[in-house]
Amino acid sequence: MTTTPTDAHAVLPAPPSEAGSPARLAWVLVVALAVIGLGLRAIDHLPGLLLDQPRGVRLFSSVTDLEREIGTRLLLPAYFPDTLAWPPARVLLASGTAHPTALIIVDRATGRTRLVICQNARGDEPIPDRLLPPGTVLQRVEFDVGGSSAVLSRMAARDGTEWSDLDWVSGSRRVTLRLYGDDTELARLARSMTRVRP
Amino acid sequence: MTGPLDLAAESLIHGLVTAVTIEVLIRRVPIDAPGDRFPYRVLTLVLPLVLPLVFLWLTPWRASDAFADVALLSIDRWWPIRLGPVPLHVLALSTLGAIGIWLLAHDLWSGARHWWHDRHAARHHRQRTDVPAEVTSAIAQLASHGGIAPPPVVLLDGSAAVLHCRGLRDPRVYMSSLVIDRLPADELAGALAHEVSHVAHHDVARIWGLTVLRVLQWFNPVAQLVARQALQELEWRADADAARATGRPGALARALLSCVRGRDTEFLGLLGKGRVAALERRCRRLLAGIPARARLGRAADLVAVGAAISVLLFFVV
Repeated sequence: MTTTPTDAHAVLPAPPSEAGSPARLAWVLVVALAVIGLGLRAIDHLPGLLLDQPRGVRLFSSVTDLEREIGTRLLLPAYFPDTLAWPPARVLLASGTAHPTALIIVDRATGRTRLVICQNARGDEPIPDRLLPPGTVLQRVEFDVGGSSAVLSRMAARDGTEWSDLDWVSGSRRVTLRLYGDDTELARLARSMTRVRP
Repeated sequence: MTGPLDLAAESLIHGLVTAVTIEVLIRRVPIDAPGDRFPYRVLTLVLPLVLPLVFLWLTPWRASDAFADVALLSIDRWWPIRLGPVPLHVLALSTLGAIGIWLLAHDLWSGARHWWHDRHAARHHRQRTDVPAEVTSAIAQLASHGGIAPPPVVLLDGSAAVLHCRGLRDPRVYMSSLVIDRLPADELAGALAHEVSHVAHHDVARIWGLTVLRVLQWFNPVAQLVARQALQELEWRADADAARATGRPGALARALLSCVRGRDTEFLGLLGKGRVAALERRCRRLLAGIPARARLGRAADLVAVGAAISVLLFFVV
Protein backbone atom coordinates (compact mmCIF):
# COMPACT_ATOMS: atom_id res chain seq x y z
CA MET A 1 0.00 0.00 0.00
CA THR A 2 2.75 2.48 0.94
CA THR A 3 4.60 3.56 -2.14
CA THR A 4 8.06 4.60 -3.15
CA PRO A 5 8.66 8.33 -3.55
CA THR A 6 8.13 8.54 -7.29
CA ASP A 7 5.71 11.48 -7.23
CA ALA A 8 6.65 14.53 -9.21
CA HIS A 9 6.00 16.65 -6.13
CA ALA A 10 8.40 15.50 -3.49
CA VAL A 11 9.08 16.63 0.04
CA LEU A 12 11.16 19.79 0.06
CA PRO A 13 14.66 19.67 1.53
CA ALA A 14 15.44 21.23 4.90
CA PRO A 15 15.72 25.03 4.75
CA PRO A 16 19.16 26.67 4.55
CA SER A 17 20.90 27.03 7.89
CA GLU A 18 20.16 30.74 8.43
CA ALA A 19 16.49 30.81 7.34
CA GLY A 20 14.33 29.32 10.08
CA SER A 21 17.16 29.10 12.60
CA PRO A 22 16.72 30.06 16.28
CA ALA A 23 19.17 32.95 15.77
CA ARG A 24 17.02 34.35 12.97
CA LEU A 25 13.91 33.81 15.12
CA ALA A 26 15.50 35.91 17.89
CA TRP A 27 16.59 38.63 15.46
CA VAL A 28 13.18 38.90 13.76
CA LEU A 29 11.47 38.86 17.17
CA VAL A 30 13.56 41.77 18.48
CA VAL A 31 13.00 43.84 15.33
CA ALA A 32 9.27 43.03 15.25
CA LEU A 33 8.78 43.96 18.92
CA ALA A 34 10.73 47.20 18.47
CA VAL A 35 8.68 48.23 15.41
CA ILE A 36 5.38 47.22 17.04
CA GLY A 37 6.37 49.07 20.23
CA LEU A 38 7.05 52.25 18.26
CA GLY A 39 3.78 51.81 16.39
CA LEU A 40 1.86 51.43 19.66
CA ARG A 41 3.53 54.55 21.03
CA ALA A 42 2.51 56.48 17.91
CA ILE A 43 -1.08 55.22 18.17
CA ASP A 44 -1.09 56.26 21.83
CA HIS A 45 -0.70 59.87 20.74
CA LEU A 46 -3.86 59.78 18.58
CA PRO A 47 -6.40 60.41 21.39
CA GLY A 48 -4.32 63.41 22.49
CA LEU A 49 -4.39 64.80 18.95
CA LEU A 50 -8.12 64.13 18.58
CA LEU A 51 -8.96 65.70 21.94
CA ASP A 52 -6.27 68.38 21.76
CA GLN A 53 -5.00 67.03 25.05
CA PRO A 54 -1.36 66.29 25.88
CA ARG A 55 -0.26 62.75 26.66
CA GLY A 56 -0.55 61.90 30.34
CA VAL A 57 -3.51 64.21 30.89
CA ARG A 58 -7.05 63.03 31.62
CA LEU A 59 -10.18 64.95 30.80
CA PHE A 60 -13.07 65.18 33.29
CA SER A 61 -16.60 66.26 32.61
CA SER A 62 -16.86 68.51 35.70
CA VAL A 63 -14.90 69.95 38.60
CA THR A 64 -16.93 67.73 40.93
CA ASP A 65 -15.85 64.59 39.02
CA LEU A 66 -12.23 65.70 39.25
CA GLU A 67 -12.51 66.41 42.98
CA ARG A 68 -14.09 63.00 43.50
CA GLU A 69 -11.23 61.38 41.62
CA ILE A 70 -8.44 63.09 43.60
CA GLY A 71 -10.30 63.01 46.89
CA THR A 72 -9.95 66.70 47.72
CA ARG A 73 -11.58 70.03 46.83
CA LEU A 74 -9.89 72.56 44.59
CA LEU A 75 -9.16 76.19 45.34
CA LEU A 76 -11.43 78.34 43.18
CA PRO A 77 -11.67 82.14 42.80
CA ALA A 78 -14.54 83.75 44.70
CA TYR A 79 -14.18 86.72 42.35
CA PHE A 80 -15.18 85.74 38.85
CA PRO A 81 -15.61 88.36 36.09
CA ASP A 82 -18.84 88.27 34.12
CA THR A 83 -16.87 88.13 30.90
CA LEU A 84 -15.71 84.58 31.73
CA ALA A 85 -17.89 81.49 31.30
CA TRP A 86 -18.50 79.04 34.14
CA PRO A 87 -18.26 76.03 34.33
CA PRO A 88 -14.78 75.49 32.88
CA ALA A 89 -14.66 74.39 29.25
CA ARG A 90 -12.19 71.66 30.14
CA VAL A 91 -11.22 70.04 33.43
CA LEU A 92 -7.87 68.28 33.32
CA LEU A 93 -5.80 66.08 35.60
CA ALA A 94 -2.18 65.31 34.77
CA SER A 95 -0.45 62.17 35.97
CA GLY A 96 1.82 62.53 38.98
CA THR A 97 1.70 62.10 42.74
CA ALA A 98 1.04 65.85 43.25
CA HIS A 99 -2.21 65.52 41.25
CA PRO A 100 -1.66 68.58 39.04
CA THR A 101 -4.97 69.94 37.75
CA ALA A 102 -6.02 72.58 35.24
CA LEU A 103 -9.32 74.33 34.65
CA ILE A 104 -9.61 75.91 31.20
CA ILE A 105 -12.01 78.85 31.26
CA VAL A 106 -13.17 80.56 28.10
CA ASP A 107 -14.44 84.03 27.27
CA ARG A 108 -18.21 84.14 27.43
CA ALA A 109 -18.46 86.18 24.19
CA THR A 110 -15.73 84.73 21.96
CA GLY A 111 -15.39 81.18 23.33
CA ARG A 112 -11.59 81.50 23.31
CA THR A 113 -9.46 80.48 26.28
CA ARG A 114 -8.90 83.42 28.63
CA LEU A 115 -7.98 81.89 31.95
CA VAL A 116 -6.17 78.73 33.04
CA ILE A 117 -6.29 77.84 36.74
CA CYS A 118 -3.64 75.27 37.59
CA GLN A 119 -2.94 73.81 40.99
CA ASN A 120 -1.33 70.81 42.58
CA ALA A 121 -3.84 69.14 44.85
CA ARG A 122 -0.93 67.77 46.89
CA GLY A 123 2.39 69.53 47.13
CA ASP A 124 4.19 72.61 45.91
CA GLU A 125 6.07 71.07 42.98
CA PRO A 126 6.09 73.09 39.76
CA ILE A 127 2.98 72.71 37.58
CA PRO A 128 3.74 70.45 34.56
CA ASP A 129 4.18 72.43 31.34
CA ARG A 130 1.69 70.19 29.52
CA LEU A 131 -1.17 71.73 31.53
CA LEU A 132 -0.34 75.31 30.56
CA PRO A 133 -0.57 76.92 27.13
CA PRO A 134 2.95 77.24 25.71
CA GLY A 135 4.55 80.67 25.86
CA THR A 136 7.79 82.63 26.33
CA VAL A 137 8.51 84.64 29.47
CA LEU A 138 9.04 88.31 28.62
CA GLN A 139 9.32 89.79 32.11
CA ARG A 140 9.24 88.48 35.67
CA VAL A 141 8.57 90.44 38.90
CA GLU A 142 7.92 89.66 42.57
CA PHE A 143 4.31 89.98 43.67
CA ASP A 144 2.26 89.59 46.84
CA VAL A 145 -0.85 87.41 47.02
CA GLY A 146 -2.52 87.74 50.43
CA GLY A 147 0.82 87.73 52.26
CA SER A 148 2.36 84.95 50.16
CA SER A 149 5.21 85.76 47.87
CA ALA A 150 4.39 85.15 44.22
CA VAL A 151 5.99 85.59 40.80
CA LEU A 152 4.16 87.60 38.17
CA SER A 153 5.32 86.97 34.62
CA ARG A 154 4.43 88.54 31.31
CA MET A 155 4.19 85.81 28.70
CA ALA A 156 4.08 85.84 24.89
CA ALA A 157 1.92 83.08 23.50
CA ARG A 158 2.70 81.39 20.17
CA ASP A 159 0.01 83.42 18.41
CA GLY A 160 1.69 86.64 19.59
CA THR A 161 -0.85 87.51 22.30
CA GLU A 162 0.43 88.61 25.72
CA TRP A 163 -0.69 86.77 28.85
CA SER A 164 -0.09 87.35 32.55
CA ASP A 165 1.01 84.47 34.72
CA LEU A 166 0.93 84.41 38.51
CA ASP A 167 2.58 81.58 40.42
CA TRP A 168 2.59 81.11 44.21
CA VAL A 169 2.19 78.55 47.00
CA SER A 170 -1.08 78.70 48.93
CA GLY A 171 -0.78 76.62 52.09
CA SER A 172 0.76 73.42 50.76
CA ARG A 173 -0.45 73.84 47.19
CA ARG A 174 1.27 75.33 44.19
CA VAL A 175 -1.17 77.52 42.23
CA THR A 176 -0.66 79.12 38.82
CA LEU A 177 -3.12 81.44 37.12
CA ARG A 178 -2.59 82.38 33.49
CA LEU A 179 -4.88 85.11 32.20
CA TYR A 180 -5.37 86.86 28.90
CA GLY A 181 -6.20 90.26 30.46
CA ASP A 182 -4.81 92.91 32.75
CA ASP A 183 -2.74 92.34 35.88
CA THR A 184 -5.32 94.00 38.15
CA GLU A 185 -7.95 91.42 37.22
CA LEU A 186 -5.39 88.64 37.68
CA ALA A 187 -4.47 89.94 41.16
CA ARG A 188 -8.14 90.09 42.17
CA LEU A 189 -8.66 86.54 40.97
CA ALA A 190 -5.60 85.32 42.87
CA ARG A 191 -6.49 87.04 46.13
CA SER A 192 -9.99 85.55 46.00
CA MET A 193 -8.83 81.95 45.65
CA THR A 194 -10.88 80.05 48.22
CA ARG A 195 -12.87 76.85 48.26
CA VAL A 196 -16.03 78.75 47.37
CA ARG A 197 -17.59 78.17 43.94
CA PRO A 198 -17.72 81.26 41.65
CA MET B 1 -10.60 50.04 39.49
CA THR B 2 -10.30 47.53 36.66
CA GLY B 3 -13.66 46.13 35.57
CA PRO B 4 -14.65 43.38 33.12
CA LEU B 5 -14.90 45.92 30.28
CA ASP B 6 -11.32 47.10 30.90
CA LEU B 7 -10.08 43.50 31.01
CA ALA B 8 -11.93 42.66 27.78
CA ALA B 9 -10.48 45.73 26.05
CA GLU B 10 -6.97 44.88 27.28
CA SER B 11 -7.38 41.26 26.15
CA LEU B 12 -8.51 42.45 22.70
CA ILE B 13 -5.50 44.72 22.25
CA HIS B 14 -3.13 42.06 23.62
CA GLY B 15 -4.64 39.57 21.17
CA LEU B 16 -4.11 41.91 18.25
CA VAL B 17 -0.50 42.73 19.21
CA THR B 18 0.34 39.05 19.79
CA ALA B 19 -1.28 37.98 16.51
CA VAL B 20 0.66 40.61 14.54
CA THR B 21 3.95 39.65 16.21
CA ILE B 22 3.45 35.93 15.61
CA GLU B 23 2.37 36.53 12.00
CA VAL B 24 5.54 38.56 11.41
CA LEU B 25 7.63 35.72 12.89
CA ILE B 26 5.89 33.10 10.76
CA ARG B 27 6.36 35.09 7.55
CA ARG B 28 9.78 36.64 8.12
CA VAL B 29 11.76 33.91 9.92
CA PRO B 30 10.07 32.02 8.13
CA ILE B 31 8.32 29.24 10.02
CA ASP B 32 7.00 27.12 7.15
CA ALA B 33 6.16 23.74 8.66
CA PRO B 34 2.58 23.59 10.01
CA GLY B 35 3.82 21.47 12.91
CA ASP B 36 6.16 24.31 13.90
CA ARG B 37 3.47 26.94 13.41
CA PHE B 38 0.73 25.34 15.48
CA PRO B 39 2.25 26.01 18.93
CA TYR B 40 2.73 29.68 17.99
CA ARG B 41 -0.95 29.92 17.02
CA VAL B 42 -1.86 28.44 20.41
CA LEU B 43 0.46 30.96 22.10
CA THR B 44 -1.47 33.72 20.29
CA LEU B 45 -4.66 32.41 21.87
CA VAL B 46 -3.29 31.82 25.37
CA LEU B 47 -1.34 35.05 26.04
CA PRO B 48 -4.27 37.51 25.70
CA LEU B 49 -6.39 35.28 27.88
CA VAL B 50 -3.87 34.87 30.69
CA LEU B 51 -1.75 38.03 30.75
CA PRO B 52 -4.38 40.67 31.65
CA LEU B 53 -5.42 38.58 34.67
CA VAL B 54 -1.84 37.79 35.72
CA PHE B 55 -0.81 41.44 35.39
CA LEU B 56 -3.86 42.57 37.36
CA TRP B 57 -3.08 40.08 40.11
CA LEU B 58 0.70 40.63 40.34
CA THR B 59 0.98 44.31 39.42
CA PRO B 60 -2.26 46.15 40.23
CA TRP B 61 -0.33 49.46 40.02
CA ARG B 62 -0.30 49.06 36.22
CA ALA B 63 -3.81 50.56 36.28
CA SER B 64 -2.55 53.85 37.81
CA ASP B 65 -2.24 57.15 35.94
CA ALA B 66 1.48 57.24 36.69
CA PHE B 67 2.00 53.97 34.80
CA ALA B 68 -0.08 55.29 31.89
CA ASP B 69 2.72 57.84 31.36
CA VAL B 70 5.35 55.16 30.79
CA ALA B 71 3.03 52.75 28.98
CA LEU B 72 3.40 52.27 25.23
CA LEU B 73 -0.36 52.28 24.80
CA SER B 74 -2.99 53.23 27.37
CA ILE B 75 -6.50 52.19 26.41
CA ASP B 76 -7.92 54.63 29.00
CA ARG B 77 -6.90 57.52 26.77
CA TRP B 78 -9.50 56.44 24.19
CA TRP B 79 -12.33 56.40 26.72
CA PRO B 80 -13.26 60.14 26.47
CA ILE B 81 -13.56 60.07 22.65
CA ARG B 82 -17.15 60.03 21.40
CA LEU B 83 -18.77 59.55 18.03
CA GLY B 84 -21.80 61.78 18.41
CA PRO B 85 -23.69 60.63 21.49
CA VAL B 86 -21.92 57.23 21.65
CA PRO B 87 -18.55 56.77 23.40
CA LEU B 88 -16.05 55.36 20.88
CA HIS B 89 -14.95 52.50 23.15
CA VAL B 90 -18.55 51.31 23.58
CA LEU B 91 -19.03 51.36 19.81
CA ALA B 92 -15.69 49.61 19.13
CA LEU B 93 -16.11 46.95 21.82
CA SER B 94 -19.70 46.15 20.86
CA THR B 95 -18.84 45.97 17.15
CA LEU B 96 -15.80 43.73 17.73
CA GLY B 97 -17.77 41.63 20.21
CA ALA B 98 -20.56 41.14 17.65
CA ILE B 99 -18.03 40.07 14.99
CA GLY B 100 -16.40 37.68 17.48
CA ILE B 101 -19.74 36.12 18.41
CA TRP B 102 -20.71 35.77 14.73
CA LEU B 103 -17.42 34.05 13.83
CA LEU B 104 -17.67 31.72 16.82
CA ALA B 105 -21.35 30.91 16.24
CA HIS B 106 -20.73 30.32 12.51
CA ASP B 107 -17.91 27.85 13.17
CA LEU B 108 -19.63 26.13 16.08
CA TRP B 109 -22.76 25.67 13.93
CA SER B 110 -20.67 24.33 11.05
CA GLY B 111 -18.76 22.01 13.42
CA ALA B 112 -21.99 20.79 14.99
CA ARG B 113 -23.42 19.93 11.55
CA HIS B 114 -20.29 17.99 10.64
CA TRP B 115 -20.38 16.21 13.99
CA TRP B 116 -24.04 15.35 13.48
CA HIS B 117 -23.35 14.14 9.93
CA ASP B 118 -20.49 11.88 11.08
CA ARG B 119 -22.51 10.61 14.05
CA HIS B 120 -25.44 9.88 11.76
CA ALA B 121 -23.18 7.99 9.36
CA ALA B 122 -21.65 5.97 12.22
CA ARG B 123 -25.06 5.08 13.66
CA HIS B 124 -27.06 4.40 10.54
CA HIS B 125 -24.53 2.53 8.51
CA ARG B 126 -23.82 -1.02 9.46
CA GLN B 127 -20.39 -1.54 10.99
CA ARG B 128 -18.47 -4.25 9.18
CA THR B 129 -15.96 -6.51 10.80
CA ASP B 130 -14.22 -7.54 7.60
CA VAL B 131 -11.70 -4.69 7.41
CA PRO B 132 -9.62 -5.52 4.33
CA ALA B 133 -6.15 -6.82 5.09
CA GLU B 134 -4.52 -4.16 2.91
CA VAL B 135 -6.14 -1.45 5.07
CA THR B 136 -5.04 -3.00 8.39
CA SER B 137 -1.52 -3.59 7.11
CA ALA B 138 -1.31 -0.04 5.73
CA ILE B 139 -2.54 1.39 9.04
CA ALA B 140 -0.02 -0.75 10.94
CA GLN B 141 2.81 0.38 8.67
CA LEU B 142 1.83 4.05 8.92
CA ALA B 143 1.38 3.85 12.70
CA SER B 144 4.81 2.28 13.02
CA HIS B 145 6.20 5.14 10.89
CA GLY B 146 4.56 7.59 13.31
CA GLY B 147 5.77 5.71 16.39
CA ILE B 148 2.31 4.82 17.72
CA ALA B 149 0.24 1.69 18.16
CA PRO B 150 -2.10 1.05 15.21
CA PRO B 151 -5.41 2.83 15.92
CA PRO B 152 -8.64 0.81 15.71
CA VAL B 153 -10.44 1.09 12.35
CA VAL B 154 -14.24 1.23 12.17
CA LEU B 155 -15.44 0.19 8.73
CA LEU B 156 -18.90 1.43 7.76
CA ASP B 157 -21.03 -0.05 5.05
CA GLY B 158 -22.68 2.76 3.16
CA SER B 159 -22.97 4.91 0.12
CA ALA B 160 -21.35 8.01 1.65
CA ALA B 161 -17.61 8.60 1.50
CA VAL B 162 -16.65 8.62 5.18
CA LEU B 163 -13.05 8.96 6.31
CA HIS B 164 -12.24 10.76 9.54
CA CYS B 165 -10.77 10.38 12.99
CA ARG B 166 -13.00 10.54 16.09
CA GLY B 167 -12.64 9.95 19.80
CA LEU B 168 -11.17 12.18 22.50
CA ARG B 169 -9.37 9.64 24.67
CA ASP B 170 -9.39 6.66 22.35
CA PRO B 171 -9.24 8.01 18.80
CA ARG B 172 -10.38 5.72 16.00
CA VAL B 173 -10.31 5.92 12.23
CA TYR B 174 -13.79 5.76 10.72
CA MET B 175 -14.01 4.86 7.06
CA SER B 176 -16.69 3.61 4.71
CA SER B 177 -16.35 0.78 2.24
CA LEU B 178 -17.06 3.29 -0.52
CA VAL B 179 -13.73 5.00 0.16
CA ILE B 180 -11.88 1.69 -0.20
CA ASP B 181 -13.75 0.92 -3.41
CA ARG B 182 -13.29 4.36 -4.88
CA LEU B 183 -9.67 5.26 -4.06
CA PRO B 184 -6.69 3.72 -5.85
CA ALA B 185 -4.07 2.18 -3.56
CA ASP B 186 -1.69 5.16 -3.46
CA GLU B 187 -4.51 7.63 -2.77
CA LEU B 188 -5.95 5.41 -0.03
CA ALA B 189 -2.51 5.17 1.58
CA GLY B 190 -2.24 8.97 1.58
CA ALA B 191 -5.72 9.41 3.06
CA LEU B 192 -5.09 6.81 5.77
CA ALA B 193 -1.70 8.37 6.58
CA HIS B 194 -3.46 11.70 7.07
CA GLU B 195 -5.86 10.18 9.61
CA VAL B 196 -3.07 8.25 11.37
CA SER B 197 -1.21 11.54 11.78
CA HIS B 198 -4.30 13.03 13.49
CA VAL B 199 -4.36 10.02 15.84
CA ALA B 200 -0.60 10.25 16.53
CA HIS B 201 -0.84 13.92 17.51
CA HIS B 202 -4.09 13.58 19.51
CA ASP B 203 -5.62 16.19 17.23
CA VAL B 204 -9.17 15.53 18.42
CA ALA B 205 -8.12 16.66 21.92
CA ARG B 206 -6.28 19.64 20.42
CA ILE B 207 -9.40 20.67 18.51
CA TRP B 208 -11.44 20.54 21.72
CA GLY B 209 -8.75 22.61 23.47
CA LEU B 210 -8.89 25.20 20.69
CA THR B 211 -12.68 25.28 20.96
CA VAL B 212 -12.45 26.01 24.69
CA LEU B 213 -9.97 28.84 24.04
CA ARG B 214 -12.31 30.23 21.38
CA VAL B 215 -15.36 30.13 23.60
CA LEU B 216 -13.48 31.88 26.42
CA GLN B 217 -12.59 34.65 23.96
CA TRP B 218 -16.01 34.91 22.32
CA PHE B 219 -15.68 38.71 22.29
CA ASN B 220 -12.38 38.69 20.39
CA PRO B 221 -12.60 38.36 16.58
CA VAL B 222 -8.80 38.15 16.33
CA ALA B 223 -8.82 35.06 18.57
CA GLN B 224 -11.56 33.51 16.41
CA LEU B 225 -9.52 34.00 13.24
CA VAL B 226 -6.32 32.72 14.87
CA ALA B 227 -8.18 29.62 16.09
CA ARG B 228 -9.31 28.99 12.51
CA GLN B 229 -5.70 29.26 11.36
CA ALA B 230 -4.63 26.86 14.12
CA LEU B 231 -7.19 24.30 12.93
CA GLN B 232 -5.90 24.71 9.42
CA GLU B 233 -2.33 24.10 10.64
CA LEU B 234 -3.48 20.77 12.11
CA GLU B 235 -4.87 19.72 8.73
CA TRP B 236 -1.75 20.91 6.91
CA ARG B 237 0.48 19.09 9.37
CA ALA B 238 -1.49 15.86 8.87
CA ASP B 239 -1.14 16.39 5.11
CA ALA B 240 2.60 16.98 5.48
CA ASP B 241 3.03 13.89 7.67
CA ALA B 242 1.05 11.83 5.16
CA ALA B 243 3.14 13.13 2.28
CA ARG B 244 6.34 12.27 4.17
CA ALA B 245 5.09 8.82 5.14
CA THR B 246 3.95 7.87 1.66
CA GLY B 247 6.29 10.05 -0.40
CA ARG B 248 3.36 10.90 -2.68
CA PRO B 249 1.79 14.27 -1.86
CA GLY B 250 0.07 14.34 -5.26
CA ALA B 251 -1.79 11.12 -4.47
CA LEU B 252 -3.07 12.62 -1.20
CA ALA B 253 -4.29 15.71 -3.08
CA ARG B 254 -6.18 13.47 -5.52
CA ALA B 255 -7.61 11.49 -2.60
CA LEU B 256 -8.87 14.69 -0.97
CA LEU B 257 -10.72 15.65 -4.13
CA SER B 258 -12.09 12.13 -4.61
CA CYS B 259 -13.38 12.02 -1.02
CA VAL B 260 -15.16 15.35 -1.47
CA ARG B 261 -16.64 14.29 -4.81
CA GLY B 262 -17.77 11.00 -3.29
CA ARG B 263 -19.75 12.56 -0.50
CA ASP B 264 -23.46 13.04 -0.91
CA THR B 265 -25.04 16.33 -1.89
CA GLU B 266 -25.96 17.07 1.70
CA PHE B 267 -22.31 16.95 2.67
CA LEU B 268 -21.29 19.06 -0.30
CA GLY B 269 -23.75 21.63 0.96
CA LEU B 270 -22.10 21.45 4.37
CA LEU B 271 -18.73 22.27 2.90
CA GLY B 272 -19.66 25.78 1.90
CA LYS B 273 -17.45 28.18 -0.03
CA GLY B 274 -14.97 28.69 2.80
CA ARG B 275 -14.30 24.99 3.20
CA VAL B 276 -13.99 24.40 -0.52
CA ALA B 277 -11.43 27.23 -0.62
CA ALA B 278 -9.58 25.68 2.34
CA LEU B 279 -9.55 22.32 0.54
CA GLU B 280 -8.16 23.97 -2.56
CA ARG B 281 -5.41 25.60 -0.46
CA ARG B 282 -4.52 22.20 1.02
CA CYS B 283 -4.19 20.70 -2.45
CA ARG B 284 -2.08 23.60 -3.65
CA ARG B 285 0.23 23.28 -0.63
CA LEU B 286 0.60 19.56 -1.24
CA LEU B 287 1.48 20.14 -4.88
CA ALA B 288 3.88 22.98 -4.05
CA GLY B 289 5.95 20.66 -1.86
CA ILE B 290 6.07 19.89 1.84
CA PRO B 291 8.34 22.16 3.90
CA ALA B 292 10.73 20.34 6.21
CA ARG B 293 10.36 21.07 9.92
CA ALA B 294 12.97 23.49 11.25
CA ARG B 295 12.22 22.58 14.88
CA LEU B 296 11.31 26.14 15.83
CA GLY B 297 8.33 25.03 17.88
CA ARG B 298 10.42 23.72 20.78
CA ALA B 299 9.36 24.60 24.31
CA ALA B 300 12.45 26.79 24.82
CA ASP B 301 11.70 28.83 21.68
CA LEU B 302 8.06 29.21 22.66
CA VAL B 303 8.92 30.29 26.21
CA ALA B 304 11.41 32.86 24.88
CA VAL B 305 8.93 34.25 22.33
CA GLY B 306 6.11 34.24 24.91
CA ALA B 307 8.28 36.02 27.49
CA ALA B 308 9.42 38.69 25.00
CA ILE B 309 5.84 39.38 23.87
CA SER B 310 4.71 39.46 27.53
CA VAL B 311 7.29 42.16 28.29
CA LEU B 312 5.89 44.27 25.43
CA LEU B 313 2.31 43.62 26.52
CA PHE B 314 3.15 44.66 30.09
CA PHE B 315 3.37 48.19 28.69
CA VAL B 316 0.05 47.92 26.86
CA VAL B 317 -2.51 48.73 29.49
